[in-house]
Amino acid sequence: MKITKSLAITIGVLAAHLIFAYVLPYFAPYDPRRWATVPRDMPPSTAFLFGTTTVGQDLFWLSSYALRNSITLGILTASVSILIAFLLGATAGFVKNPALHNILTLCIDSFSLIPGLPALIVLTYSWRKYLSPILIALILSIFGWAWPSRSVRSLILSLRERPFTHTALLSGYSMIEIFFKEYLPYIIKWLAVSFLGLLTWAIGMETTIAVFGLSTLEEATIGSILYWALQYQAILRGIWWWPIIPILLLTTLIVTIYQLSNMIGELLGAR
Amino acid sequence: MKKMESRKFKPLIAHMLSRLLFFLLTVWIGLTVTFIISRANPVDPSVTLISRLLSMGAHLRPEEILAMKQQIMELYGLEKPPYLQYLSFLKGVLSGNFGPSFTSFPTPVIDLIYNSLPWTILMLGFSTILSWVIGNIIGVLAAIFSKKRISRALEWIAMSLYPVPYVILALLLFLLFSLVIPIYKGVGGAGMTKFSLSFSFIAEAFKRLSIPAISIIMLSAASWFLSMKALALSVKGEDFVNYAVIRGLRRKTIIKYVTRHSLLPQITALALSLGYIFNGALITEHIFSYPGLGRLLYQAITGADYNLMLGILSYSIVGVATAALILDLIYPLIDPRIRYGGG
Amino acid sequence: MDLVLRGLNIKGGYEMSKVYVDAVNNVSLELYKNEIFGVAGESGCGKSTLVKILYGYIEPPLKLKSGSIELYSNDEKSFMISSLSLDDLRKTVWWKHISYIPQNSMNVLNPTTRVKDHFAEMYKTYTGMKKKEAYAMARKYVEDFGLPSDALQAFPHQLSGGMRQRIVIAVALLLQPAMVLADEPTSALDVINQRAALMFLKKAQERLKNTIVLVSHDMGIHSVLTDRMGVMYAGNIVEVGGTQAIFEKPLHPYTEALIESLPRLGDKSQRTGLKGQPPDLRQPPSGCRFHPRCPYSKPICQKEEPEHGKREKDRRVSCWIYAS
Repeated sequence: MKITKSLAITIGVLAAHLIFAYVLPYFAPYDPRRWATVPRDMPPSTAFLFGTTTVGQDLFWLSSYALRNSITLGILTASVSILIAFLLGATAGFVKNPALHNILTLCIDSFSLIPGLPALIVLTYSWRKYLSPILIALILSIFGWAWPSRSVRSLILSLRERPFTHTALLSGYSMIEIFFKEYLPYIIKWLAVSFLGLLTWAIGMETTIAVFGLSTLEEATIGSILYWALQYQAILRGIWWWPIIPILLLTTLIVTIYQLSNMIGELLGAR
Repeated sequence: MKKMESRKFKPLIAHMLSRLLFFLLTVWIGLTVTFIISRANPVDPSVTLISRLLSMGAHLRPEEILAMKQQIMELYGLEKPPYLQYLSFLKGVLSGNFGPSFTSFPTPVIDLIYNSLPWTILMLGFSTILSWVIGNIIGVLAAIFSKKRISRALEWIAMSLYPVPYVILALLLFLLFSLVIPIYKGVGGAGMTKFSLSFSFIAEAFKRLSIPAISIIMLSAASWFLSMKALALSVKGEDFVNYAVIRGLRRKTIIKYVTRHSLLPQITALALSLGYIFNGALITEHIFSYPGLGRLLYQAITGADYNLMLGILSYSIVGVATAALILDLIYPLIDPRIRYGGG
Repeated sequence: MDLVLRGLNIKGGYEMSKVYVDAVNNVSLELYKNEIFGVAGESGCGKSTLVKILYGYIEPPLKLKSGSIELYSNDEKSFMISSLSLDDLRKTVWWKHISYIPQNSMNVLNPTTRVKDHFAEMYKTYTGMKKKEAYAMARKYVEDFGLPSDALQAFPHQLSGGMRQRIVIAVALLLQPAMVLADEPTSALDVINQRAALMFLKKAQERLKNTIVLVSHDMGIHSVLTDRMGVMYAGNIVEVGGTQAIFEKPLHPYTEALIESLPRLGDKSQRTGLKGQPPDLRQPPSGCRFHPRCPYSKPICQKEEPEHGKREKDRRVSCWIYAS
């Protein structure tokens, strides 16, 4: 009973974020990214719910655009990473040839040891002229797959050691049948949980590189709003809502997704 | 029994050799990926450098630009075919010689790194060890007294803190302590680059270190706490702990049992998280203008200083992998199941 | 015969937020010096819970509702286990006077400490001995026990299951308690090792002349090893008596079914098992808890619990068939 109640709250908060991000932009009275469409530096009021920025953008509509872009970027990154993670992890878990197994394992392990952020900064900096949310998502995926891949591999290795696998093999099932009938439902539950983990990771990572001034700064994302707010010394000049609004949106979104993934994990018994 | 005695150290040696081999391969793959990333640049680095010079107000004639381009290409070895560039890069890593820095020409890259390295090691060492210790102690206690209200409150706090991206937390703390409660004034990159052991230095270092360190400790202690609590709870339910309770061992002994067993996976996790800790250093140093490797790297990247960039990245990969190797080699000393194989 | 333990009207079970599992219902028993007492019954009948209660190891959700357990030690002191706190039990009763061999006992040793530390810990906890002395004592003790002293230096995972099993038995007998509770001690072992471990236990008992309560679902073990036994069904002890007498002439319909289901040499007829399932102890049946499965069920069986009445010398049965 308790779980369903907090699950309802979590889903409600998440739905509010999603409506704000994916429905509201259609009702924007003007392109919120354009400068000087509204008076500058207005604090939150009934006219401007979230206030306005120093360059004359309405933060309400701007953050709705930004949240949409950030979430989309996160979903794209998470999908690509999960796909790579699953393919490599499953192959490493199944492959019979010990040399191939070791090479794959080594690849996965060393990618999860590489400090991703510096490499990410080098890449985004070199490609900064071409950056778009899609390119960022692809670059992020280079570093996103290693950890989930590691887990897929060990998950499969441990499933293969379970008695039910031996029983099934001895009763004449092929490994492929066992994989689709027995393992896949289990692994998919697990993938759902780590998809949500990657989603929050990607959204946070985009924000991070934006703070370094290396994201798509012309496109509205949560990170780029934050970057410009810092560039314009918003807090120092008392324009607190400029950085605080995106920070609040981002934090509530990420904490909610995290809670959701915990609950899903608990419900499915994947943890 | 006799057989066991004679064979008992073989698994240990096998373990150490495999870790060592793994270490070398990991470092090699990491370095190679770094090299590829640094060359995966759609813009010719020499063009970037020259356009930077021009934008700084230098007036150059076309033939001067051409000569300069040639010079830069030679300086960075970019005129050679890629495989030779790769080999000389690997040679550079082995000898510690990455050539001169461009942004602070002609200071060798290695000197710049050695100036910043102690700062990063100081802060990372301090905050990593502290957060690991704090998180694990509170985690074990929370699992042992899992029915107490405070234990649940702590878990709730950690659960809300843990998913927050570090950059957000660091920014909030920075804004809080530099503007709202201005006790962090006068902390910039200015001065204080020489590392020493004098009292005034330590006092100053502590002042600079405390807030960035707190930002790291808050988040990573929360994450260590969560994993430790989960681990300790499951160890608490294991047969051998139950047997210890049945045998009437003292509470102190049982806490020791649970702690020791839950710590084992936490040590492996620490080794695996070192790469992420280095990521954190980059963010911390950028936001708090802390004079360490992370800030140097950011300057190198934005200044298109390729030698410096490759030098720092190689160092961090070797550093992270070495720390992980040390933890791996220590591990069998605390887990006899690995020391003696089997199990 | 000297009484070692007397349990009177023990009622206990697991109290969860919404349900109560009535695991032990009104059990009384008397155990004597120098005997092996068997507790038989299907899994889930409350055997393990009863043993935990006898040991006084009562932690939520397990709760002792009523009843008393009194232990008489070798030095003729008596301890009211049912009214002592866990701390008091630890300080005054456990291991010195009553010890425990847990379920799955070949896997209960701490995997990161050496075997000798398991002995030393006990000496240190209960006699305040110093570490060095404790190691020396452990060595002597293990050798006297006929176990290889090499095993002391090993970590548990380096030893065979049978050896670990024997170590746990040796640990239980370390301080020569008046009574040892053994809860399915050998169910994880293969038949050969099981036999060896049980013989090891029996030999030790013959030497120390103490009391052992041996819980097992395996009637074969009871027939070979125990002197007296109690048969449990759904939280009740339905029959108590000398093992030989019970096997020769089971009185309770449930005991009869249990023994009937055992294979016999040369008998090729089909074995008939008991119909139905053991009851859900969250909602135990009314009256005699065995009545839904009992072939001799009468109307009264559904309404009232039968008394645990004395039938013959040392023989008690709870069944309406024998009510006068």
